[in-house]
Amino acid sequence: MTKPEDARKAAEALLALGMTREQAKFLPPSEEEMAQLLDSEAAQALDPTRKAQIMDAIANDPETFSRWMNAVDMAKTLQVGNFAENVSFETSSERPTTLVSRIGQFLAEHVRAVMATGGAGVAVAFAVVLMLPVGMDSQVSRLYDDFGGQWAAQPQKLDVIRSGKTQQQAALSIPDQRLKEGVEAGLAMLGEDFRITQLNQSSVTDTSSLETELSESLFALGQIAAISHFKCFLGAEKDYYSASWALIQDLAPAIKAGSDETSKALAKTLDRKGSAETQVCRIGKQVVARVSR
Amino acid sequence: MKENDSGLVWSEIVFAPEFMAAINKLAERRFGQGALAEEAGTYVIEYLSRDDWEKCKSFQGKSQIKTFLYTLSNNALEEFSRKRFGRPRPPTWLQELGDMWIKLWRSLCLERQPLPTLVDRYTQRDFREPQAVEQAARVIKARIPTCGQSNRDTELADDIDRLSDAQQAEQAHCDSEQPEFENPFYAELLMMVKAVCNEDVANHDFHQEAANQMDTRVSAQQQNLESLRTALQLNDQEKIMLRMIFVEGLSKSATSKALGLPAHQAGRMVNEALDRISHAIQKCGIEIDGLLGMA
Repeated sequence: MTKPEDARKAAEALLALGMTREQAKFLPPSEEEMAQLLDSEAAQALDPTRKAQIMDAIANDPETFSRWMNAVDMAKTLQVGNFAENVSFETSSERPTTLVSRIGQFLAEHVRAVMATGGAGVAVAFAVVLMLPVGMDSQVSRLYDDFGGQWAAQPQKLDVIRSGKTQQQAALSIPDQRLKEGVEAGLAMLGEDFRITQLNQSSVTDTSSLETELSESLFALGQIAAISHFKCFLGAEKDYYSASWALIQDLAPAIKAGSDETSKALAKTLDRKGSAETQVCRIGKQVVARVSR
Repeated sequence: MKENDSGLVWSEIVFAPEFMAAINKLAERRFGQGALAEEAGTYVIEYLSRDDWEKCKSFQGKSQIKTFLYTLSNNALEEFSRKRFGRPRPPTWLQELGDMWIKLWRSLCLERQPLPTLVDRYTQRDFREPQAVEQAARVIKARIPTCGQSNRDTELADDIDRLSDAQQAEQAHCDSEQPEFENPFYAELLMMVKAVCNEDVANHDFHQEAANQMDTRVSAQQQNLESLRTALQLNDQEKIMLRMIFVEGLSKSATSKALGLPAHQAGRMVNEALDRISHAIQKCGIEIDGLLGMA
């Protein structure tokens, strides 16, 4: 972009910000809520209504925005919260106490969220993030970050529509439900422009009965499948396929150890031969097909 | 040792070498290396331990404990600076430009720190573009000719602190030599946009003559500007991102990180918002280059 274009864009942005300024009463965040917002994992526990109020205050109240920028500056300087090298930053002796209290707090928020929304879906989505194995979530995130750069150039509002059923969808099995949660988490990371329109809309099944390692692996595989679904459709770099395939192979042992129908079907696909691209696209297609039934 | 209901021993956490090192780092970043930073570090400890660790005890376990303590420490440094250097209010236009501007104004005009040091501080690890900081400093100096030339002795800070808010606001108003506008909302807004975006900004840009010219341009475009105001629709997240990037000068990836988004997401969302803004500006028949005198 040339310099005059930069200046024009900045001018237009500033003009828009000035014109959309709102004079209203805000409910600014406490110090702890501000700290919570700086840590995407802790932010998951924020009540959605409260989070919207805080975002409103940051966006429209100069004083709250000033506090937010101070906090961002601090987090960047000290490499904490979302700026930490390893997001699971807390390793010191206070971990047990705070973890317990965080989980307690999380559950309290969780119950309120369920009551507020009238369903278990929100609760499951929050729990899923909390349960992700250390390291795996950051690996998946890195995959998105490393290979998401060119996505801005891709068609907006891309819908990959399957010729699916329109009648009432059958309930998914528990392992398939867990895969679907992963796919949904992956789509959330991609942003609202990327959707799979035929995702199964049947009532949510509780996946907590799954064995932990299998549950985590299915969830991570679902996330990879979501990005791969679009990457394979639109074309991707070789590095993407090799990195994805390496990650999938790390998940394979837990999946192959599963005795349910989903695990067996996935294990069978994982054993098939082919290039990294073929393998990744094949498994991605299979996962999306399973959760779109 | 004092514990709160959660069993946390705050003195142990705060006096741990790792935390003390972080406090020193924050203090040095804010005040540079030396006695002032040491004094600020000591103030942070005093602030946190005040009233039997009252502020720390407000912790409810919703966030990472260290992130919470660092946020409190940041507030303590702000309080220290106000006590040490007084708390005259920055002019309204500067407050509206955002936190980076207020901090820069404080460092430049009150603490009288040299610009190269400030550029280094605000651009560490590619957090901001050096040009953004230099440009901001240029605008501040252009609009506030007395910046850094105050005869106030820092030792008199306590006296300044006792001044009423009204007195300080009046002082800031005088310092900033605010021109008068007939169309205060649009003319002031456009003047600010011009000041931020035009690298050739000079003192005369802020004189009454320039204000009159801006008033004339606004009058000619008043209806278009009104329709633009109605047409523009930005959600809270877009406003925050645009402000972080175009006002505070943060990189898009740092903005994404701060908001807990994938690295590319802020850029994509901001580009979409900019396209919408640009489209609305064109649709409302506004020639922005001409309006701002940037052509």
